[in-house]
Amino acid sequence: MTIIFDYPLIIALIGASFIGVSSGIISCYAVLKEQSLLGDAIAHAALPGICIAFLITLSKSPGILISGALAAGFLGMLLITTIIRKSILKEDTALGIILSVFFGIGTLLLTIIQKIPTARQAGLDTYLFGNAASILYEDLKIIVILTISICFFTILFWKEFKAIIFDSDHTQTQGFPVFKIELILTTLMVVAIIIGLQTVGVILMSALIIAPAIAAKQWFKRFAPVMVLSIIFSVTSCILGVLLSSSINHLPSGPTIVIFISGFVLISLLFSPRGIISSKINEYINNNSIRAESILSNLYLLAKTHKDHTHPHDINTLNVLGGIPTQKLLVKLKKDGLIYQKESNLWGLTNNGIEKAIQILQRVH
Amino acid sequence: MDPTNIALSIKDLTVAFGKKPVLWDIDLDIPKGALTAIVGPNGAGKSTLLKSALGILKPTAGRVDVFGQPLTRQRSQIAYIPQRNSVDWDFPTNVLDVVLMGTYSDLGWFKRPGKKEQARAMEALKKVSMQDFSNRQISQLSGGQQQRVFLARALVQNAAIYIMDEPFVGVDAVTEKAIISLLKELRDQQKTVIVVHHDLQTIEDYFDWICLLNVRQIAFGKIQDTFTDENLRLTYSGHHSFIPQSHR
Repeated sequence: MTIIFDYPLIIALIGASFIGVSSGIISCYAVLKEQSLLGDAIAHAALPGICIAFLITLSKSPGILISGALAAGFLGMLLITTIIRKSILKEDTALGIILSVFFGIGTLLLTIIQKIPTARQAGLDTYLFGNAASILYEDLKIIVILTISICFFTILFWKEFKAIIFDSDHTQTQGFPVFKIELILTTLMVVAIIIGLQTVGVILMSALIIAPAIAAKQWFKRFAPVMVLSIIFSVTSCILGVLLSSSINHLPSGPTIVIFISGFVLISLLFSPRGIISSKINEYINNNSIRAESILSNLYLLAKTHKDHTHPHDINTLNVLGGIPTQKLLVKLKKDGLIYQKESNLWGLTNNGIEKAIQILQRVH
Repeated sequence: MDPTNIALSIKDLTVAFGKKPVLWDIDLDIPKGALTAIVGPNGAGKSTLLKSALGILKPTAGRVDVFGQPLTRQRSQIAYIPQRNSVDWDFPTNVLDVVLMGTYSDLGWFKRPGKKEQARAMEALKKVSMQDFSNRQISQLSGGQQQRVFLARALVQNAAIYIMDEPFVGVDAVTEKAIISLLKELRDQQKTVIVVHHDLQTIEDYFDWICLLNVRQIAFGKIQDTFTDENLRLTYSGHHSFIPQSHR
C-alpha cells in the first residue's frame, strides 16, 4: 500500500476537500430540515441527466456532464414536490418512485453508452461509485467555483435559512417569502450533491449529505459550531477516503469516503457528551447514588424502633425492603463514614449517617 | 361596532382543501384591546382560521384586514405564537437565539441581530421570568418553559395583535397563570390578543370575547352574551359536558 503524491492525486485531494466543505454545510440543513432522503433521491435522479448529456454531445467535458446532472436533479426534485402537492401520495412514496425510476433509466442509458465503441473509454460508470482520480483540472475549477458560491449564499442567508428551518410558519408571518428562501436552499442542496457525484457516486452520495451533520450534532448545542464540525468531519473523511482509494488499485473513492464518515458517526454516537457511553455512565452513577441513599434510609427506618439510632442490623433484613446491597456499595459507605460494620453481617448507621438519612427522608417526603 | 375599534376584520372567509370545506363563510370583527377566544371541537378549523388570518395559508375566498388595511401591508402589527409542538425542540440553538428570531422582521434581509436586539430579547425574557435561561439549550426546557420562550419571541416583535394557538396545552399551572396575567396586561395596554383555547372551564375567567366555531361560525360576541349552553350545544353537537356559569 503506497501513496504517490503526484499531480492527479493532489488535484483529487483538493477537489475532495472542496466537496467536503459543500456537503458539510448542506448536511446541516438537510438533516435539521428532515430532508436527508430528498438528497438521496436527487443524487440518484442525476444519473440519467449525466448519460443524456453525454449521448447528445459525446463529450466528457465536466461543464456538460454537470449541467446534465443539475437539470435531471432539478427535474427529479420538481416532480417530487409536485407529486406531494398534487396527489394523495406521501413524501416517502414520492421519493421512492422518483429515485427508482430515474436511477433505472440512468442504468439503462449507462449500459447503452458502454456499447458505443467510441464511448467505452468515457468512464461514465465512475459516477456510480465515484472515482476521485478522474477529477481533472477543469472539473476542479467548477467544483471550486460552486463550493465558494454555496459558502457565499450560506453566509448571506444565514439568518433566513436558520429561521425557516426552525419555524417556517413564524418566519412567514414576519414577512419573509418562505417559499423563495426554501427554493434557494434546495438549489444549493442540489448543487452540493451534483458536484460530489464524480467523487462519491450517485449511490453513496446521500451518506455524505446525512452523516456529517448527524455526527456533529452530538457534540455541540449551537448551530454555527455544529456546522463547523460537520464541515471538519466531512472534509477529513473525503481526504482520508481519497488517500485510501488511491493506495489500492481500482478501489472507488465513494465507499472509502463513506467508511470514514460512518466512523465519525459511530464515534460521535458512542463517545460524545450526549452519546451512548456517557449516558450509560450517568445512569450507573445515578443508580448507585439512589441505591446508597436507600441503604441509609432503610437502615434508619430499622434503627428508629430502637432507643439507640446507631443500632446495627443484619444486612439480610434489607431484603424485605427492596434487596440486599452489594458488598462494594457497603464498603464505599463505610469509607465515607456513614455506616459501620459490627461482626460480619451486622451494619449500623454512624451519627453522620443518621443525619444524612434524615436529610434524604425529608427530601423524599 | 365603531370601525376604528376593530383590530382584525375577517370577511366571507372560506378555506377548502380540495372540495372539502374546512372553514365556511366566516365573518369576524375582532375588537381592539380585548382577549378573544376561538373555541370549537377538533377539526373545527381553529388553526386554519389563525393561519388564514396570518397569511400562512391562502384562503379559497374572502379577505383579511388589519386595522382597516390589507394584511400584506400590516404584517408587522401581528405576532404569531404557534403550537409548541410545531417545531423541533432538538434544534441546536439556545433560548436567546429563539427569542432573537422575533427581531428578524425589523432587521429585514441579511442583517444579523446585534447588541440592541439582544437587549430587547433579554427584556422580553425578563417579562416571562426566563432571563436566567437565556443560555440554555432549547431541548432542555420543560413544556411550560418552551411556551414562555415562544411568548418572549412574540413580545420582542412589539406588535399590536397577538395570535396564539393553544398556548396552555401541556404547560404547568404556574406557567398558565403567568401567561394569562401577561395576556391581560397586554390587553390593558390596548393590545389585541386572539387565542385558540380548549378548556371550557377557564373561558369565562380568561377572556372577554368568544368565537364559537365548527367549520361554520356558530356565534361571535362578548362572553356574557355568547358563551351559552345553547351555543355550546350547537358547536359541539351536544358532546360537551360543561355548563356555563350563567346557567348553573
